[in-house]
Parts: sequence; structure tokens; C-alpha cells
Amino acid sequence: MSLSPSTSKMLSLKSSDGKVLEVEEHVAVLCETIKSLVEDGCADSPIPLANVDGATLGNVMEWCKKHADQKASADDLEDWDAEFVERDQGELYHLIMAANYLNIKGLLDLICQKVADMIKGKHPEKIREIFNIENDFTPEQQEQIRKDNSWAFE
Amino acid sequence: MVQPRAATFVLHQYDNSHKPSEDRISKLPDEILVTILSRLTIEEAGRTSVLSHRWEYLWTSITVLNFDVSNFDVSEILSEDTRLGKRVLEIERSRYVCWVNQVLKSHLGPTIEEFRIVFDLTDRCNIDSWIKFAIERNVQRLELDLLVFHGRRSQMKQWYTFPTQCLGFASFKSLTALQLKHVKVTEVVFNYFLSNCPFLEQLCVIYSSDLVNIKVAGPSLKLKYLEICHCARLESIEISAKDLVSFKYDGKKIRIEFKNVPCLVEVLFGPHFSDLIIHNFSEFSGWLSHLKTLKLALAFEHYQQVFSPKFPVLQNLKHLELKIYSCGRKSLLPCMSLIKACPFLYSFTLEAFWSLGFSIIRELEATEKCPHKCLKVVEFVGFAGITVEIEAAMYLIENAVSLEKIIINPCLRVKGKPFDVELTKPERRQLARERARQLGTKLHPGTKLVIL
Repeated sequence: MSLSPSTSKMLSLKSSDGKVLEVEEHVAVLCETIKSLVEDGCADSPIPLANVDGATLGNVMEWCKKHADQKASADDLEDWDAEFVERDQGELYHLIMAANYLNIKGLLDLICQKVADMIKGKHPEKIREIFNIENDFTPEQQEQIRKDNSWAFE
Repeated sequence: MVQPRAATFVLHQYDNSHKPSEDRISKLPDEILVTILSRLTIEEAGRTSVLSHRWEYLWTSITVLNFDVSNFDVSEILSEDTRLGKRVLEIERSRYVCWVNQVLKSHLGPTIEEFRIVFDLTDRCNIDSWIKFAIERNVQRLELDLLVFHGRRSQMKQWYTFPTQCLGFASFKSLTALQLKHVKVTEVVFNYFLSNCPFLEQLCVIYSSDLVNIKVAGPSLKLKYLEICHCARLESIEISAKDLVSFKYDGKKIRIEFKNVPCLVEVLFGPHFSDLIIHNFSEFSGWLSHLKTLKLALAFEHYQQVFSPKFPVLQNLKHLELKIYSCGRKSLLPCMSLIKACPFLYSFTLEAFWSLGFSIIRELEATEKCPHKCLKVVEFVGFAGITVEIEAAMYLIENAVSLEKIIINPCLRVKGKPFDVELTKPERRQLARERARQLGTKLHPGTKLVIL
């Protein structure tokens, strides 16, 4: 199926909080989930996206629009992506869940890498602090895990 | 929720991490957390086991098992005191083996994407069992680089041979990339991979003494990248691979026959085979004429007659890279006849390994005019600013009429064991940069000089 920008029609996407977003089809089909709906001919009425709220859907479509742009160079996209992921953890969480649900591999990879970069090179205490993870181990349990995986803590 | 003062302080300290009021990351589904952890080193992933109960076993499903030693200090192993070196190697080797075994024992994931072993290892049993582990988990990218740190290079008998019994017990059906370095690969094993891995796109065999005559062919072959280097007993390679895009060969002069390679656009050769090509250009012109990228290595001192000026035209060539090994006396201008043979060349790179510690200063040779209309980018790597380089640069500046960029890189990195090594001294690089700046005054207005 050829989906060139000039002939692309509009699709309506409905978020979990009832907001309706009009998106060009060639942009929306970057979401594999929406693409299969379009291909099966089930994309006429507003497509309900029960797991994505309006604000997140807006962010996701902003990413899709940039990446559907044939004119954007690889360098340009890389810079743009680097700026795109500069968000707080709440937004990143919603984006990652939406990318997973809508099946957008490029966006999922991008945010997974961002989160991995936040963990990289840090001690467990620091990681807990950054992500607000509660340590629910007893000191003895923790000692045992360190012993079992001693190669990781040398 | 109001944050306590200490937390506010933390927020300022880590501007871009935006300390959250709740733990979101732990709420992500397992498969996403495993994807995130697979992007860390094995140690970093393993360390997350102590974060909380939620994280304790997540790392055991990571899909990338790269037993990399980039952070490892090899200076003692490589020390001139060989007895000390060997002792340290023994200790580090058993540590490495222990590490791999512990991780594999804990690993619970059903599949792995990448499995990479990089160390000087000798013990067959362990390596056999690791390969078995990887295959049973449908590994997609497998790399074994059993680096040889100490004197074992001559003792080929001790080298690890890829086990033929591994071929029987499991299927390599998922394999897309296979790299075997310092591993003996028999022709039986080599052929097995070619005919039994329907998705194999990348195959690389380096330092394998068992291959003699290899035939890369097969009805279902998907191979795109093939690299065969330093296989001492190799006599011939025959390639019939309809999807092959890139081929690299380094080693002695052997018979290489391309039978059916309609997609082949990139070829890289080491010094011996490059020599064969330069002196018998027309013999190879059949497949050479289809190439877009050609990289040759030239042991320049050995060239008596240097280049024949009658190269057949390479209509499709866009990128030419020459790696030159020279004392620094012999003019590089004869190389330019190769550029003349490529009317649509877009970029030209000259990487030079100068063996002379001092420079020869003489008058620049006069050159004939020969406009290269399409050449836009020229790069000098390992630039020292000696006369022969300036001469070549001046030739290119004068004749590449639409040159946009000339890049001068005084650094010269070589693949080390196991890490890359910078060959040039800082003083030399500084001097080279100063000399490069003088070139700037000779440029056309449209050309940009980039000094790295």
C-alpha cells in the first residue's frame, strides 16, 4: 500500500480521556497497531485507544509526525530525538507504555535507551534515589544477593 | 506531595533526571524492563538485582550477553616481563571463565539475541558448553573472539576448534550474524553454517588456519556481509551469493572468483591482494566496475613501477579509500591515476602509516592538470604534514574543482588486542595540525578545511 503525504487522508484517534485527535494517515500508521486496523479496513470511525491518554497521544503523534517526514536527515532526527526524550519520569513512563501498546518499535527503542542511560554507571543506591525505588530487602537478604551475584559487585 | 528539603536538593543536583514522587519504573511490564536491562553491560544489569524484590530476577532474562572486557586493564598481561604477563593472564582467564559460568547458571531467559565471548581462552569444555547454551536459546548474533595475548600465535595446535559435535545437537536456524576470530574453523563447519542458517546475513572468519578452499554458495544463501581475514592456509575463495553486498579479504595472494554477485558494491582488500589488483587491474575489471566503495591497502615501498596509468574506468565508484604503508619518501602522485579511473568519485580517503620518524623536505613535484569534477570530500588520516602528503593534497585541491571539504586527521588508530591503539604522538599531531593550517590558504573559496 502506498501512503504518500499528498494523498494521505485524516484519521481520528480517541484517547482514554475522550479527546479526539485528527492525524494524517501516513503519520498514524507508524503505529503498527493502527496500521493493521487501517489495512483491515477498520479505521473509519474514531479509533478508540483505551490505554493512551490525550496528552501522551499528542506527544506520540508529534514523534510519529517527525519520523514520517521524508525530508528529515538521520542527523536531524537524532538531535530531535535527543531533545524529545528530555522529559520527567511520569511522561517517559506514559510514552513507553503507549509505544508498547501502539507497537512503535522506534519510539520504544528510543525511550528504553533513555532509561538505560539513566541507570548506566550508577550504584544501586543512586538508582533507587533517581527512580524513587523502595528497598524492600532486609540487610541480610541484600547481603545474600550480593554474594550470589558477586561478579556484578566487584 | 511536598518534598522534604533534602529531596529538593537532589532535584537540583540531577537536573535532567527529575526526581519523581512515585516509583514508576518498577511498574513497567517485565518485558520492557528486560529490554532496558539488555541495553546495559552484564554487570550493570546484574547490579539491579539488589534494588528491590521486583528487580531481583529481572536481569536473568536479558537478551544481550556481551562478555566484554573493554574496561579491563591488559597492561600487566602485555608487560615485557613475560613471566608476570603469563601469571596475570592465568588469573584473569580463570576469573573470566568463572564470570561467564556464573552468569549462564543464573540466566533464565528463553532466548538471547546476542552472545559475545572475547578473551584469550584455551579450555575446550567451557567454550563448548557456552556455544551449546547460546544455540539452545536461538541466538541471533554469535561472536567468539578468543584473542591471543601471549606467544600462542605460533602454537596453532592449541587453538580452539569450533566443535563439529555442536552442529548435531541443535539448530542454528535463528543465526543472523556469526563472527569467529582466533578460532579454528574447518571446511565442514564453514559449509554447515552456509547451508543450515537460512537467515545468516553476516559471516566473519579471522585467523583460522583450517580453511583451504572455500566455496560460498547455496540456493537459499542470504549472506550480505562476508569477511575472511588472515587464514594462513587458504588457497581459494569462490563466491556465488546473490545478496552479497560487502566483501573483505586480507591475507596472501589467492584465487578469488566471483561467480554471481549482482549486489556486491563494497570491497576491502589487505596489502597482498591489493597489490595483485593494482598490477592486474584489467583482469578484475568485471566485478570492479560495479563497485561503489573500494578500499585497498598498499605496501608502497615495494612498488617499483608503481601504477600503470591505464586503469580501466570504474564508472560506479563513489568512495575510494587507500591505506598506504610507506617510509614517506616516495611520491603519492602515482596513486592519483587511480582517481582518474573513477570519473564519478565522490569521496577519497588516504590513510597513511609512515615508518620514517623524520620528514624529507624537497620541492613539490609539478603535476599535470586533470579535473575531477565529482570529487567533493577528501580525507587524510594519519596526516603528518610531510612533503609527499602536501604534494598529494595540492594536486587534489587544484584538480578537484568542486571540492567541498578537506578533512585532515592527524590521528591514526589501529585495531589493538583487544583495544584500539593510537599510534601517533601528541607532538607529531600538533605539528601536523600546524602544517595543515597552511594548506588552508591554498583552498578555493567553496572548500572547507576541517582539522581534527
